[in-house]
Amino acid sequence: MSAALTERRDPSSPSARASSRKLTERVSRIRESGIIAVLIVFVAVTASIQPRFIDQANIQFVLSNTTVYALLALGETMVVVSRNVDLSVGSVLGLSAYVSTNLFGHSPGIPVPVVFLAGLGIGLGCGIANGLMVAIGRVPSLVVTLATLYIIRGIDILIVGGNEVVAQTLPASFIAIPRANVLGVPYLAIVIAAVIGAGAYYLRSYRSGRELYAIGSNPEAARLAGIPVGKRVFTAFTVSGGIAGLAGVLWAAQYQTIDSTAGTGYELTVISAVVVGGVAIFGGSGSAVGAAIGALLLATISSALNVLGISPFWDLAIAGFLLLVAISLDRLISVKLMAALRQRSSGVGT
Amino acid sequence: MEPDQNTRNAEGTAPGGTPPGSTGAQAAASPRRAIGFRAALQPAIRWETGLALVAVAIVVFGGLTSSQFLTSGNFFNLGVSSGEIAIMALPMTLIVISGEIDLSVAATLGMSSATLGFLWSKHWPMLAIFVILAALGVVAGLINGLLVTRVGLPSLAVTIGTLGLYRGIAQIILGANTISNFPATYTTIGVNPVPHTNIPYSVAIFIVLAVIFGVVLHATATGRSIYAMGASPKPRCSPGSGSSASRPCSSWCPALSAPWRARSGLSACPRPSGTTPSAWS
Repeated sequence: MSAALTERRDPSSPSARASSRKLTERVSRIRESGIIAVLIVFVAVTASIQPRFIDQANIQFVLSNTTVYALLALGETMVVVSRNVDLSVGSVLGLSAYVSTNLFGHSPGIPVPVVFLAGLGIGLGCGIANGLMVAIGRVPSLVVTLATLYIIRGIDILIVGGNEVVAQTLPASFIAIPRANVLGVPYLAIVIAAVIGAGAYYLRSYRSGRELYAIGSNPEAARLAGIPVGKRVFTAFTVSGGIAGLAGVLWAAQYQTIDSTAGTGYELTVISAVVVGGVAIFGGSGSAVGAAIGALLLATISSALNVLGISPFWDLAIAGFLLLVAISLDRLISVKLMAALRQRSSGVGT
Repeated sequence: MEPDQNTRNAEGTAPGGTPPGSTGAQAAASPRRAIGFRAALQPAIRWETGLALVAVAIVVFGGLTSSQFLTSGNFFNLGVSSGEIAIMALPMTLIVISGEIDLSVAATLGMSSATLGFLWSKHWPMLAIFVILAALGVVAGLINGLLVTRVGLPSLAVTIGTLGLYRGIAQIILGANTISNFPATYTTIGVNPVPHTNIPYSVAIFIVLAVIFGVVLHATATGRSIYAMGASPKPRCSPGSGSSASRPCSSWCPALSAPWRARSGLSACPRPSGTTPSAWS
C-alpha cells in the first residue's frame, strides 16, 4: 500500500512526498503496535483471571505452538504481499509431514537433517507447481492453490491410506527438537524468530523483496517499470511451498502422530495470522514480523481458551472473526489515509 | 479430457500450433458451403458441449465396465449424493459470473445443519426450524455481501473469514455431539424419491430452481447486468472511485445464495448418519 501511495504522489514536490511517506510509515507502525497492544491487553486480562496462563510451562507451550504457524506465515506473507494467495500450505504441510517422517520407519538410522531436506524438497516441488501455474500459466492464484489444496491432500490420502506414523518409529533426537530449551525459551522458537527476522529484512531491504511490494501495489505498473513480475511471483510461491514443507517436518516432531489429516484447515489460520498481523490482503503492504505477531496472537488466544476452560471448538470461529475484523479495519485505515494524502497533495495540509 | 481441448481450440481464433495465416488460406480454398457449415456448428462448440460429451463418455464407460452402473438404483444414489451440491451451485453461478467468489458455502451448510440438529434436540417443531434456517442463511449471505459491497473488501478474504466463522459456529453449537433421531416423515426427504418417480427430492428441487435461475440469468436485465459486472474491470484498485455504485447487484447475490444453502442443509442432514459439526468440511 505504502509503495502505491508514494508512487501516486506528485513527483515534482519532493518535500510533500517525504511528508506523505512519513505519514504512511507512521500509520503502518501504528497498525503493528496496535496488534502488540491487543496481545498485551489480552495476556494481562487472561492472566488476571487465571495466573497459570503466564507460568513458564504455558508460555513454552504457546511459543512452540506458534513456531509452525509463524513459519508458515512468513511464506504466506511473501505471497500475499505480491497480491496473491497460497491456500495450499496446509496440504503441503500434511504431505511433507507424512512422507518425510515415514523415512524413519522405512530406513531406520536415517540422519535427521536428511529428513528435513526431504520435507523441504517436497514443499519446494509443490511450491514450484503453484508458481509455474500462476506465473507462466497466468491462472489466478486463488484458483490454482484452491485446486492444489485438494490435489495435494488427495495425493497425501493416496499415499497414507489408513496408515499413520506413530511416535515409536521416530528417533529420540527428532522428538527432542521442539522440546529443547535455552533459559526456558524453546530453542526452536529462537531459531524461527531468527529466520523470520532474516525474511523480514529481505522483504524490507533487498531489491527483489521491495519488488514484491511493488507488484502487490500495482502489478501493471510494476511490469511497466521493468520488474520481472512472473519471476518474483514464482519465487514467492516456491519459498512459500518450501517453508510449508519444512514446517511439516517440525509439525511432525511436535505432534508425533501423523495421518492423512495433518494440517487440514491450516490455510485459514495462517491467512488469518498474516492479515491480523497487518499484511494487506490486497497486497503491497505489511511485514513478516507483523505476520509472526499475528500468529503469536492466534496461538495465545487458543491457549487462553484452554486455560480458561472454554471449549476449543471456539478456536475456528474466533480466527475467522478476527480475520474479518482485521480486513475491515485495514480497509477503513486505507480509505482514511488516502483521503489524508489527497488533502496534503492538494496543498491544504502542508 | 479430449473434447475439452477441442472446445478450447475451437473457441480461439486459430487452432493450437496453426498460424492464423494458414487458417485463412484454408477457408479461402474450401467451398462456401463448408464455411456455412462451420458457422452453423459454431454455437455448439463451447465448454458445455465438451462437459456433456465427457459426461456421456463416463456413463458409457460405466455401463460397459459394470452391470450395476446403468440401474435406476445407482442413478437415484447419484442424485441423492449430488443434489445439494447442485442446488448450491446455482446461486454460486451468479456470484462467480459477477467476478466474485464464495468459499463459505459449505460452512454455511454445516452451520445450518448444526442449528437444525440443535433446535430439534431442544424439541422445536420442524416447521419453525425451517423458517429459522432460511433466516440464518440469509443473514450469513448478507454478512458476506455487505462486507464485499459496502465495506469494499475482496470476496476471497471475506469468505475465507466467514468460512472459519460459520464452521466454527457449527462446532460451538454441536461440540462433539451427533444428533440423529429425526422423525421418519422428515428423513424420508433425504433418502426416498418423490412419490411415483425415481427422482430424489433434492434433485427435484434443483430442477425447479435451475429453470428459475436460468430464466433470471439469461432473460432478464438483472441477469445480464451480472455478466456486465463480471466483464468490466474491477474498480477496486482505485479506492474512492465509486466502486460500490458500479456493482449494485453483488450485495444481493450472496444473500440470494444463502437461503438455498440453508435449504440444502435441510436435505443434507436427515441422512441416517445424522448431523455432526464436521458435516461438509
